[in-house]
Amino acid sequence: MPLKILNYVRPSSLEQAYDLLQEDGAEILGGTTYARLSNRTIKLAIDLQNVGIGSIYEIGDYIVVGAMATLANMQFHDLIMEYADGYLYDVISYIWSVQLRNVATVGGTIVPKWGFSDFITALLALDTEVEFYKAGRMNLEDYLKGMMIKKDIMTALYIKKTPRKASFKFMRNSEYDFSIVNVAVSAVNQEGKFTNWRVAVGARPGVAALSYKAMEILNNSVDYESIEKAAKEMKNELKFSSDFRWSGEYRKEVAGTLLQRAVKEVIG
Amino acid sequence: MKINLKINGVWKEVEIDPSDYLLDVLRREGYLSVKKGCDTGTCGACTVLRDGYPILSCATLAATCDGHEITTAEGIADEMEDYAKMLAGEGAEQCGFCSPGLMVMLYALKKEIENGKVKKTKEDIRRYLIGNLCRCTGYAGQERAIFRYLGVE
Repeated sequence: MPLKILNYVRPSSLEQAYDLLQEDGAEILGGTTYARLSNRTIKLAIDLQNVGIGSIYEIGDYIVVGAMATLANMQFHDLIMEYADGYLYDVISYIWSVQLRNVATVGGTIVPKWGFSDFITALLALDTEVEFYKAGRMNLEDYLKGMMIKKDIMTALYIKKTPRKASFKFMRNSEYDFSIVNVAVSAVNQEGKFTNWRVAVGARPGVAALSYKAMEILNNSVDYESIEKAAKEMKNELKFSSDFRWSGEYRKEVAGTLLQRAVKEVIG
Repeated sequence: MKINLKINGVWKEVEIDPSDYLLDVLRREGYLSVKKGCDTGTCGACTVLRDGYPILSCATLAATCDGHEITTAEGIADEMEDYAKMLAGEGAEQCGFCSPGLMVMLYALKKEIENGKVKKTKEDIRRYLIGNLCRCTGYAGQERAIFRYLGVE
């Protein structure tokens, strides 16, 4: 049985949307791109397009991306194209198709914690936070590690404009496909000295996670040996599993190689 | 429920079920250029423009389009005639099932190039059109035709 929606509503404020969400069987609609692949019944589908959380702007040290902004809105926004040499522009440009990116929303991609997501892995390698209407702001990592927040509304993504240099690598069976494993790496670039490394690995096939061991090694030194060691430690630290696409063992080996390539790209 | 769609420049009130996808609503309303291919958001045969931007109508709930402007291949008939000649001139059409979706994308691509959002290079054009699958041509003819049409060396 395909997805069945019994009632559809388009509230005009966050407060109204939140109240509606508390009803039994109510759910927020994201971009609806993957809704078609589910077979559940939604008693009340809440569309957030009129509640005013679709803008992208700057506040202090942060780029704020409204949860209802589409991936395409984000990709082509000047703030995103400028930050970290257009790192996020590049990452988004490899996500599925133009048509999908014009529909898929930032909130609809982050909130479900999709394991296959390139977007989440790429964000996790930056200094990012997510904001919910009631739960407030939290680190993206804390959100990904925590329980699913079901009866709240993600309102925005915050990207701190730390002067990072970043690299994103993926492996796919073909370019127009989901990543089978992906790695994002970034470091603060202080006049050619790289510090404060972040290493995120996703599509394991679980949702992206940071490798603290790899980050610790790279924070101590970044030479040929330490890059190899960081890859090795990451493979021991993170869990890789098998699915119908690839085995966990193969994913792990490829992730190690991608990590090394990404670090080398960052340091130039 | 009733929704209002501005389809190819004309406002229409349409009766839908909240679970209906835009693709099925458009075909029901007679816009048969919008093709039902994979029906899973992959092949691009169902591509239409919403407020000027290409979307997958098979992956977009019709209800979310209430109050928006939808353009199908029927709405850009003049351009379609040019595009059809361009594809035929390079032997780039076989069954033709994917052509309306591809042509709607080409229409959007031209605007994005004019706006400076997409560079007029072979690589950028290929990446823009990656979501339009064709099971017949192997893409070589389509690429050749589109590159020539856009004046890309």
